[in-house]
Amino acid sequence: MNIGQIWNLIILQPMTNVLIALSHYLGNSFGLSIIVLTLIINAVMYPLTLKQMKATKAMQDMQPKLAELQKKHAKDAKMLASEQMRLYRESGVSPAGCLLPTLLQTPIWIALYQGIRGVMAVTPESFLNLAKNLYAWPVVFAAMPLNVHFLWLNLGSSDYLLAILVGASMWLQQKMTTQTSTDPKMAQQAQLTQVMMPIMFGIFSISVPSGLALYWVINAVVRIAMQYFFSGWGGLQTLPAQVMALIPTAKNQPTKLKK
Amino acid sequence: MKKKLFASFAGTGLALLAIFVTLSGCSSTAVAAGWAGGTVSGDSVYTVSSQGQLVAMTTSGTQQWASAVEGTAASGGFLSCSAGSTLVAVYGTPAVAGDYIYVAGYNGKIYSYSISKQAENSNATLDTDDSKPIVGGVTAGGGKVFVGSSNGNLYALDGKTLAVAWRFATGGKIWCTPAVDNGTVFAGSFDKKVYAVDAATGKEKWAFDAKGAVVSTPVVADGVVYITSFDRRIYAVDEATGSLKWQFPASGTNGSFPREWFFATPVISNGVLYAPCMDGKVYAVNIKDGTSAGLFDVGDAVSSSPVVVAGKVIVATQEAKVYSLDAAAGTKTLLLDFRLSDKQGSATVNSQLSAQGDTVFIHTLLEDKMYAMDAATGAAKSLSLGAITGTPTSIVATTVVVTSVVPTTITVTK
Repeated sequence: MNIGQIWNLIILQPMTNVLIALSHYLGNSFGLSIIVLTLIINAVMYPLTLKQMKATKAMQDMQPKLAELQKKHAKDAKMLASEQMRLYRESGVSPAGCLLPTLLQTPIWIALYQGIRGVMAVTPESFLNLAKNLYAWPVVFAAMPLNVHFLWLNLGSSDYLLAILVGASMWLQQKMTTQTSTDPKMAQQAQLTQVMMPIMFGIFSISVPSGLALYWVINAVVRIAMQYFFSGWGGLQTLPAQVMALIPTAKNQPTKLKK
Repeated sequence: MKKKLFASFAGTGLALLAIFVTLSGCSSTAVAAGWAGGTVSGDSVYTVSSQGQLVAMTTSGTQQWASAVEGTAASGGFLSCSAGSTLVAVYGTPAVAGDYIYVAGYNGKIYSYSISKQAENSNATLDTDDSKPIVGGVTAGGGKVFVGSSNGNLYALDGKTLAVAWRFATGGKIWCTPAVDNGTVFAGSFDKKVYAVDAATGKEKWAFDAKGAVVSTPVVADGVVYITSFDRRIYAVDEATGSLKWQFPASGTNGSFPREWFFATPVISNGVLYAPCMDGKVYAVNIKDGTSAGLFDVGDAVSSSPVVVAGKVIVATQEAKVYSLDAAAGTKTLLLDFRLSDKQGSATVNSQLSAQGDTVFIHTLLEDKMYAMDAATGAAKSLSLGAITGTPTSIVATTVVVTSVVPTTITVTK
């Protein structure tokens, strides 16, 4: 059995068949099926997500101490690294704890993407390939082919509005969770990630079936809700002030020259 | 250390996106490549290569001429790997009527070629404002050509000008090649129905409700239309009225359904319908009453439509094993195994088979070759289609003799 067959057996096939079966029980709505599956995935991932949020929070809380260390050992990189590691160890913080849930979700993205392409018959090849990944459940054959329409969307085609929603929801999520850093360079990098990630996902959403983009939007909304209940609005708290700063007022408007 | 750590954090998202694109966006099934079979007309065979070339060759395997379908088409969108192709993919087998060859493109266009001029005659986009891919082939008859589209419409076009004579709307995509008999066009749809439409007017005569989508071409014989469906059933309905005569498995027989759906078009030989299934079996059913006439396990999914040669059914599996089946004798003979090595991957056969005399023509996809196989012995030679350019000049044919397996016959228990 090669890696492709193993992938199909343990990831793609369960994902595809659950998507189709859910669709059947949700009034032949593939859109609802994607939403429900997203909620299920998030529920299953919750312990890991909680761990990630705690790790992120701990990392954030450590920022002043890290800045102190950097200041103290500015000229001794070896000592700085050693002290940072000691601090991580003593605080029980693992930087990998922030990444694990994201890494674990990557195969799910891929499987969902492949499943949506196949189920929606985006190309005849992917549709033909789908037959090999279906379980012999009567419900699966009764549901096929699925209803591609959900709200204003054709889930097999890309959608510009949904691509914007992907970018916007991801930006909000990023804004809530991005760590504030005392180091200007690190803060700049964080700002860059905060902007680039939503833009890239938004652009990518233009060229993939909107069913996948729907998953990203719902996932981002769920993560925003989870983050809110864990630590409040986070970086979004400063958003109104930032927005207000951009709005011209009597104070910050340039002084007009008197005639 | 800290900077490196942070940089890895910052780059993680972009790296994940790159992995995502690499692993899924450009997978082989994400691009429409086509799988046109060969059509035999006179002493020539016509097919469309995976490189988008309409290729004419003699039945002995010598290339006659070639012409690029459209030349270049739009790229596949962002990153050029999500949908579409730089070439026009063709899934339906070309149709020949008089001096014309008709080809249906995945780009939603129909092309006609002149055999005598060895060049494109005309082309037309079906409903420019609602153009969708065409997956089935074209059927020509009575000066018209009939074709279904993924926009759900069944079309009749003028054979010369390709102007739309009528269109008939269904509730789902049409991927099958329409069948024409006695002034009626038959086509299955993703809306789980098979429609009988008047070929002259485009008016519906009847619609039959299956329980699954129908992508195989309905087979019409002696006043009966035979339908295979995604619902894993075979139906026989009256050609005139659309009323059900029988279904297989018979109603109420639970647990005896095929494991997968029917994708390929079945064939009839000696009163038996042979329906290839994606579950790796070929179901043989008596056309008289729908009872089983045998079950042939061919070991791998069959998505290509078989062909009948001298009363025997020649069927190719997706992984490129070719069998000769005979329900009356209860025999299954392995004729040819042209699977590639594990390193090279599977040769893959999705294309409809065709035949002239004892020679069967099989288009393999990964290699992009047309095999000419002797149906009795399995001896075969091939013509590489991928190396053919669009120049309609004499090109030296490169035929390769394929070492066939020694035909081994297995008696099948009915």
